[in-house]
Amino acid sequence: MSVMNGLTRLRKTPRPFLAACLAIFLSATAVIAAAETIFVTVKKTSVRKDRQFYAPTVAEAVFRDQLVVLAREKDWVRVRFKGFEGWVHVSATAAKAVSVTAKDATGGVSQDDVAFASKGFDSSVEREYSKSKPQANFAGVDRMEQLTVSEKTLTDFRQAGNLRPRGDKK
Amino acid sequence: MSGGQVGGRYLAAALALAVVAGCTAAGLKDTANKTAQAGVAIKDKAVVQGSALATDTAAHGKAVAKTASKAMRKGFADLTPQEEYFIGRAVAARILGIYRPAENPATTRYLNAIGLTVAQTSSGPETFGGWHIILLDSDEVNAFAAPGGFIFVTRGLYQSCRTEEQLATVIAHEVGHVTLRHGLSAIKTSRLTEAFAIIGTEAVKEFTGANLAKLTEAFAGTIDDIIDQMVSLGYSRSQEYAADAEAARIAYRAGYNPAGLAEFLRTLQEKSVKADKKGFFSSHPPAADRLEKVAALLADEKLSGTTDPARTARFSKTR
Repeated sequence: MSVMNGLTRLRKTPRPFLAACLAIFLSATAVIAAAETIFVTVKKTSVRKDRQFYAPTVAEAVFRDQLVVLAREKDWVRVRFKGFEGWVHVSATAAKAVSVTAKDATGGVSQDDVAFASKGFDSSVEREYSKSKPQANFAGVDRMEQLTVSEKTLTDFRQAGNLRPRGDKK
Repeated sequence: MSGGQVGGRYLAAALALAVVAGCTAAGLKDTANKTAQAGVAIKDKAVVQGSALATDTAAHGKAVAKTASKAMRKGFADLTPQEEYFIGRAVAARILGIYRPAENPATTRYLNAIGLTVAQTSSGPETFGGWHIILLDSDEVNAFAAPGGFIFVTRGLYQSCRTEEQLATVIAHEVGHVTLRHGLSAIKTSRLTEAFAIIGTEAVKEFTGANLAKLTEAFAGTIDDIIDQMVSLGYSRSQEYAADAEAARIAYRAGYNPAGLAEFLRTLQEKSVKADKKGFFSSHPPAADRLEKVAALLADEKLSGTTDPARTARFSKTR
């Protein structure tokens, strides 16, 4: 098809149709631009099928992963992540992205900027601290962090103890 | 009216629609930001007033509300989950430098299952590094909670409990100290002001040399402040009462009988007459006062339940 033929076809296309297409395109762009995202602020968290910790995990998200917000209900956020949809607890997330270097007019760094920054009180500070406090038992803390409970173990534990979670009375 | 004019009007209307859609979205975003900022205001007020309920409310939304604001970092409430984790690790390392862990894998697994069960119904169930509980080889009747979710229970306290309900509410009390950020509140503001200033001065990923030394010094100060509060001075009475209230609510939501806390406090009351005021007794308000407040809370909020024999039976097996 020649360029002229293409232009002729375009001219023949009804303008209302083109306008509608443009409107849909621009509206969609606006919605996408406004889509709310949140970020994971803990080492790892589960995206769950329902908004409770006992619900099955549909995906695992890790520190700094970005999640698209679909809905909010009480302390839970419905999100889309890597093609999956599910719920994460609000305490595992924050609303803003990272800019380690951004500063305000006074030169201070805002809470937004440090939420994900890899500086501050971190492993390098811990290493320096441990040199000055040889009595501090970080190896013991490392072993303590290895103490984890699998979801299956926790489910079995609840069932064996007839523990049925209740809603909040407050 | 020509076809061109009709088409032009459609186009103009479509563009207007698109602009309105964009503005509405922006408006919603703006409203959301304002709401988030209001959340920060509530949180700040809560810290000033020391109200358990307000602090609780603030803790619920802290992760979202806090970082949605452009406010500069001023105090412990502005520490990130990651920073809280590293502070907690250092506090835990100091505790493990004083107390020896008890080598009892079965009991440790049991404690962690209870701990995670109650922590998941708290106001801050997700911490940066998760929740970890360990049994300390000590006859003291005591328990500690380091920021970030590191909890320590002494063998003496464990053996003072008579049921899983009692043990679960004691652990829930420590979870309450973490979610209400009582450990972090012990940090002197001047230390954090100094630390935040250092962190804000260098636009690099990692600190080195003099800045690292200064930051480590400020970090060491924060750890000393927390250890002094936790181990030597003890939390304030209002903080202990707030942790008790949080424990009762957490235990109730998890399916436990929250009366387990009152039962344990009665045990403490009896022991405190004979005890030498060490450990748990020296770092907490009188058990009688706590018992009175817990009993009133359980009645006011109608928090009740049953102590399931299956739970008591498995508790007895671990002792």
